[in-house]
Amino acid sequence: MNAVPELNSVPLVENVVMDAEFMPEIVEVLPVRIEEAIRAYSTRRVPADAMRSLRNDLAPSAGDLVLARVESVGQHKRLHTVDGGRKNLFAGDLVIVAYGDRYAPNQYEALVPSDLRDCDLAAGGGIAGRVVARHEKMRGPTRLHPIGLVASDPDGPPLNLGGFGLEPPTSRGPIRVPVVAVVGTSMDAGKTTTSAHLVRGLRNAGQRVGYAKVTGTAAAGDPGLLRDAGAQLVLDFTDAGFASTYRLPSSTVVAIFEELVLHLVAAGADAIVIEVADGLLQRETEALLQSRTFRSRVNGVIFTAADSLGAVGGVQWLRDRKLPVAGLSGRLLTSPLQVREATTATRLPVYGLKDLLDPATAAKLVAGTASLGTVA
Amino acid sequence: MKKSARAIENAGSDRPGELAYHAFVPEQAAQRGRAALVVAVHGISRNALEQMAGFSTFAAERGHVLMAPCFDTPEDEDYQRLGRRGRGRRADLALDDAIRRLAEKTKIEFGPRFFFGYSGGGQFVHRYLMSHPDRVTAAVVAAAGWYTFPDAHQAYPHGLRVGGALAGVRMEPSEFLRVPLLVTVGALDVDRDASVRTTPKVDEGQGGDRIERAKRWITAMQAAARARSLPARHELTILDGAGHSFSDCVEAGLARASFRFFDSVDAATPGVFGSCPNPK
Repeated sequence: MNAVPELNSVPLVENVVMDAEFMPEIVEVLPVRIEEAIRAYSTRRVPADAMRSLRNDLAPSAGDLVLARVESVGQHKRLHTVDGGRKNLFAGDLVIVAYGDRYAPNQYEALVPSDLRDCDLAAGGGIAGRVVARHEKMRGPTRLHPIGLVASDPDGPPLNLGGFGLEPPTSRGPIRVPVVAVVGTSMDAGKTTTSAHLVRGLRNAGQRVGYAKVTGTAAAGDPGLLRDAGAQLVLDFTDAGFASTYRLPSSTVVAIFEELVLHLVAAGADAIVIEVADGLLQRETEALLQSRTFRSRVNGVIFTAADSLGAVGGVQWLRDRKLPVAGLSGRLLTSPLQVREATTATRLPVYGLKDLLDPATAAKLVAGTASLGTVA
Repeated sequence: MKKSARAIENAGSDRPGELAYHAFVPEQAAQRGRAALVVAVHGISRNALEQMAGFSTFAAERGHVLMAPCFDTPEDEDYQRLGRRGRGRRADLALDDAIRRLAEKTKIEFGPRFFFGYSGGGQFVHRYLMSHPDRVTAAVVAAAGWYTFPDAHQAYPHGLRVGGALAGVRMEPSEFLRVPLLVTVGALDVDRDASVRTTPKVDEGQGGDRIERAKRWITAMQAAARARSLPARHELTILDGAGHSFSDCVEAGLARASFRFFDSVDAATPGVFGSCPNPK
């Protein structure tokens, strides 16, 4: 009869001292079913059947898909899903989101971490990152415990949004479709509302309108609103293969803008409305607006501002760069006195939401920008 | 028997912005309305016509259509790495479009698609293969300066993590390792001239010259295939007496070795129509 080893003779490992800085993350012990995870909006272009393996031996890069468990629910209580809906989150939920940097002056600044340790849900569209700054009105972020980067092949690279973006059109010649850009002073200046109403006005005028949000962070809300407004085709930078555009090289941001505009042209749009996120002083926005490509493709700019001084400063900024400003809009419109100040100082027309919905006004606005020409 | 051909035509491009190419269409291919396609991609010397001249006899013997794209516009400065985002046009997509136009123009249906690239063209071809394995029947990569390794830890173009550099592209080893591949390099191709990438990262990771780099890459590809139990075919041929010169390599048997490799793949691939009835 074999002797039963005494308990205290079994080697113990719990006394091993490890440097916390270099201690590997605990790998998920229980079997994890990837297919049961909630897939976030940011990952919508990646087919579920490509998500077959997990890797936890690689450092994450922007755009990599990660399977994570919700550790605690903070600011973002709901996750935008692949179909554009919202899913309430509970601690313990499994989610598939994409790593990405985020720049949102009224919410968070977040960066892609250098490892697979716990991180934050930086945006409701499904962005994993480490929050490094937050607006004081924001609560702490929802916390995520990464289980592994999602891959197709056990030894292959992680699935990255870049592999599922629209291929760039091969034709890059001149375009004849008018392109109106909506830009603003900062986040929440009224850019998306202005874009949606302009799209609806053009739609009311019988035009096929294409819309693209060319910079920002993945979120289902804006594309959904623009589809509801009647845009024939709605694209954003996620369709070009990016979770966000923060900290991308300027040449990449310009290339995304160019690709999205050309796709809208190829889809047969009569007019194109593009929206550039955040304010003129945001690094990527500034670089895009000053690029030769942007100046050669955009016929007119509608500037949205929250107040008159912002409007005056922004218009001056655009005029200094010889960008064709077609008019003002945005939250400024809530104050008649500020509208009066802004129009006096800039001598630009101000477009209220009712104006933009009017087919004649919207069509005239776009036709007017076409006559402004480009400034290549 | 003398084989007639429709001569070499410089199809060029019909519209600005389209990729120009040279094409050679054997008469039997035109008559049958179907043929194998051999795409020969030049290096930074842009010697597309020299490649046409070096390969046309071999293509004519087999009835293969031969095509040599010309990546020679300012938009093509990154063509060896397929035209990463923000660095000009996508070279892989431009070539796909050119192949489509050639098929339309000649009314020939292309069956097997064989790719050959020399030097910078070798860089293009192996990255094209890794990006679009479904579009390549077999490939010959000759005298490439450096390579993309089947390594998920490294970012493209050193490794497989393409990210947003090439929209719509993901390099899946389990797919691209299945494509038959011949790597060739001249036995005297050891100079570290201006055309060889000599960054510390490449020197350390891939070796100091084209021979060493070819050996390390083919070894890595073979190992990756073995690790997945894939019945892959990855071969290396060193060309005696040849340095870094396309014409010297052809003299040393590059064209013959390449077409023999294509022939062997063609013969071994079930389901492809008889593109190579009686190769010499």
